[in-house]
Amino acid sequence: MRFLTALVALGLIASAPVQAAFPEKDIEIVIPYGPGGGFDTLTRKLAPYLEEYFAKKAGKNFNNIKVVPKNMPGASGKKAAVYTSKQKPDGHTVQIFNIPGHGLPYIQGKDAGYDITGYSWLNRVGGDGYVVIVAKDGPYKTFQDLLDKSGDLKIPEQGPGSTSNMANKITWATFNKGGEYIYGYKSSRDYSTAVLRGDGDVTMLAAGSAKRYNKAGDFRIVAHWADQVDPAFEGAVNGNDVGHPELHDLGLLRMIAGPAGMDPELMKTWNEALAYAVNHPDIQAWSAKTGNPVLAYDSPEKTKDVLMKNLGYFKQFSKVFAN
Amino acid sequence: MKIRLDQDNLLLLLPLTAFAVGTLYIGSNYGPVSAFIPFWASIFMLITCLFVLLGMDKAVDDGEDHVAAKGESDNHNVLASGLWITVYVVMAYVVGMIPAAVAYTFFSMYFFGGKKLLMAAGTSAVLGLILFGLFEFILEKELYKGVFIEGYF
Amino acid sequence: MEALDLAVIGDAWLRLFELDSLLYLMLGTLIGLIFGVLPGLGGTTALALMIPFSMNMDAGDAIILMAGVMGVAPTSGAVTAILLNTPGTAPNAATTLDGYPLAQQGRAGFAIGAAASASGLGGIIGIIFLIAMVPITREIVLMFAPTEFLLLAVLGLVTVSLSTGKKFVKSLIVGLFGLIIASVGYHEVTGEERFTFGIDYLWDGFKLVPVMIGFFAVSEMINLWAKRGSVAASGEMEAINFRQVLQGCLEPIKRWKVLLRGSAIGTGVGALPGVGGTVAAFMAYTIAVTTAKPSERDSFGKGNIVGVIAPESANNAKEGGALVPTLAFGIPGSAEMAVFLSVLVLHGMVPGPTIMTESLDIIWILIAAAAASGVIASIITISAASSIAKLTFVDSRTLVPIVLAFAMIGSYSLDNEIYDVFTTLAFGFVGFIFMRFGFPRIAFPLAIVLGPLMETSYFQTLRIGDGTLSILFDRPQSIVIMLLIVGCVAYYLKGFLTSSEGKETSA
Repeated sequence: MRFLTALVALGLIASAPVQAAFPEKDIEIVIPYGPGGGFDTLTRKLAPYLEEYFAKKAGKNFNNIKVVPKNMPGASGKKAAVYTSKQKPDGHTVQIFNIPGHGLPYIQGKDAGYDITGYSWLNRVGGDGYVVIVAKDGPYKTFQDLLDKSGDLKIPEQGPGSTSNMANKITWATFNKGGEYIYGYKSSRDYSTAVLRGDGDVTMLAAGSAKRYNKAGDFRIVAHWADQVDPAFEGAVNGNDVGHPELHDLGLLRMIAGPAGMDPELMKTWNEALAYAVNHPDIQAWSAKTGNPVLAYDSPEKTKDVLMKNLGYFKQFSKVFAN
Repeated sequence: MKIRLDQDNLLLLLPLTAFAVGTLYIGSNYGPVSAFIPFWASIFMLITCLFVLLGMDKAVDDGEDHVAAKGESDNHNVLASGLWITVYVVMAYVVGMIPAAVAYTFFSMYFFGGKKLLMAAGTSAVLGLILFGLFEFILEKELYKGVFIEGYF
Repeated sequence: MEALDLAVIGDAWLRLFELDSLLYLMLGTLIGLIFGVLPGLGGTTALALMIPFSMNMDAGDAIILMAGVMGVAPTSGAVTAILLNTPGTAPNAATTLDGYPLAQQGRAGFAIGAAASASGLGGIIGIIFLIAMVPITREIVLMFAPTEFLLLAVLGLVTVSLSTGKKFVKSLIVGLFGLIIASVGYHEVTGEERFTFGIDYLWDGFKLVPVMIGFFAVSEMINLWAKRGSVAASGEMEAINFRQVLQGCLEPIKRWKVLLRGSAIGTGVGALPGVGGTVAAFMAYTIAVTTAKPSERDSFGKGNIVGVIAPESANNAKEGGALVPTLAFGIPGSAEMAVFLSVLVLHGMVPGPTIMTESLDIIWILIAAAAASGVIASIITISAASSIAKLTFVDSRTLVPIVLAFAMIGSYSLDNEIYDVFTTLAFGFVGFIFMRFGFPRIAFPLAIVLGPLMETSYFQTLRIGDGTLSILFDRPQSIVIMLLIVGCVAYYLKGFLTSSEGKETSA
């Protein structure tokens, strides 16, 4: 009998939440792209504040643990996603995700080696709505002008897998307007400059990027798919104006997740850590200055909800990006 | 232009021509956009290989550099060299990169180079220290530790 | 013109000479030098490693550190190009054509001296051109579209093949081989997998760095081990002294026209995003050959110092040029610029037309630091040149294992991937075989770098032009480049026909 009690006691001790000792070693945040991009910059900016949070939480037991961003570009983000899904769900490896970008296989019903819905979704850190831009000196002054163009619109873009491309396809499909895509531009900077140069007629950008790139006023923003059109975009219409308010659900989300099977308490800790970092005055100031929107939620459950809603929205249009 | 089979370069040109044919075959099965470079590159490669194979570029290139290059070392030395270089990679895979570098340098200098024991050992040791210091401390990049620690493929 | 406000420029230089700034500059330069010289590492790797360090620094200091690294890499890359026929960075490939033969003749110090001074001077001239271009940066970036990139890529491939003279058909074969190798992997636009044969490692294609290290460094090592002896087959070690190096340093000044032309080409071509670096060096080389006296042309590829001055001045000048699209539009002009951009953003600076008005002081600090680091790098390289050059007399049994160790480790450390080391070995064999049969390897790196650009630009051009290539004839910029291509080919063919005729009659 005593032996049995001892065994049970041992079992209870052994299964005590790992969380009590978290973090035990350096934490790795995986970035699915190379250095220099929006995801890379945001992750590196947040890392020191995550360290700060974990230090405060651990108090005197803190062992100078570092939060280390790790670039793992490859296969348009797939390489990192597969890597992360294989790590131990002990909270020491997380990744920043591009939604709906990383969700494209799910949306198209294809297998990509990872299950986007299976990860332990911790929190959102950034993301944005979309705008439609043209060259200021160009022939199109309003959104309707674009729809009135005879023939297909020429749209410079990065590649078929990017979120902005999905936004473009959904937008134009909604209005039954044909689009001829010019792929191959290296970045959103590149393809928006292409519009200025005349390579194409129109394209779409994340709202924050549009503000950033338009400081010289070269662009004209003709539409902003958001409930409240940003005051910086004078003259732009929104979904309500054109009779398609559902377009406001089009958006890019930057979210952090760990491998499937993380302990709920651990997920909560991470959620709070990320919220702390995102809401830190330094980060807020940087965000305002550089036009990189940041946003966090107060629970992992809310995060997962927003994720599924976003994926669900895009899944409706799976036929549109079937190629 | 004279057409004469280019004997000197046969050993290289045949595999290259085969390579061009192979990539042409595989490449032409890809979709129109993806096939662009594989298709055209392999066609041109095939044409140029045949051009050289049939000795048609001899009017301009008399192959003197080739003769010079070949003369520098005979095939036996080349095979031995290729083998020894491969040995390093195998060693690195098994025992790790830095230990392999140290051992390899020592063997190269002492057994093949006839250098004095102290010189060979000293150089290898210093090399090892520099590599270790540079990568593990300054760059903080972990180097491959060998198959026993890292596991198989 | 506000951008050229002398007070701000003066302040920037004063700031540079403060003690901590100088320390950061020296640190950046040193790191860039070491990375540039070690086969496999390079400017981009050094910069990427610096990102975490720079985060906690003040913006100005971070910029100075980065500029230090960037200003140096092309210079140190020339050292290995000359000593080991291994370009430290892809653009240094052109320097191997005449630099290595010089080393083999026991004149490595002379070559390094010339390369270092051409780099330093070229860098400064590039900065001067950059400053002249500052007011019109926007117009420049808007003037060049995928149409021009396509033609420039073609120009690059054509010039590089022609630069090998008599062997241009064989060179072409190697280049085409390179194009095919570059197409391995997942195609971003169509999603189709090319030549991957189900192997995960090949999904993203071959990585440039391991392939280059293998193709150049490892193949050289196989060759060196097989033929025994040392790199310098003739000449005497004692001949490599500071005097030889100094003689080399003065050459670019003696041949200032070559220097100026190379720098101009470097800055101009460097200003075009993506194409920039590698093409600039080769174009400078080819134009130097084309404009040389007919009697001198044959000596290229055998140790003509002009063949070192032209590409090296272009190499460093291009850094100045690459800043144009990077600062004006946030479109990186080169891989180093892409990493540099992220540092700017991390510190809250927003590249774009307004950076000139908002962060002008930082921009001038950057320019000052880049210019200074180029000069410092040259001085350090020149001082160390005679010692470094003596490496060409080290016996193969000692040199080969050491270089091999650095090469393989460098290849591995890129992504901590042991498969990269296998790739390096494989391409070492391939490169060696080409070498042995007298096939010039020089077109290979260019093909790998320009192939994807050519492919992408081709389709973009088609789409922009509504399905035809007629747009090439509508744009004056395109027409100019096409004329350049035709011009280069014509000039060379003329040279061929006259010299081969001469050969036949004397036979």
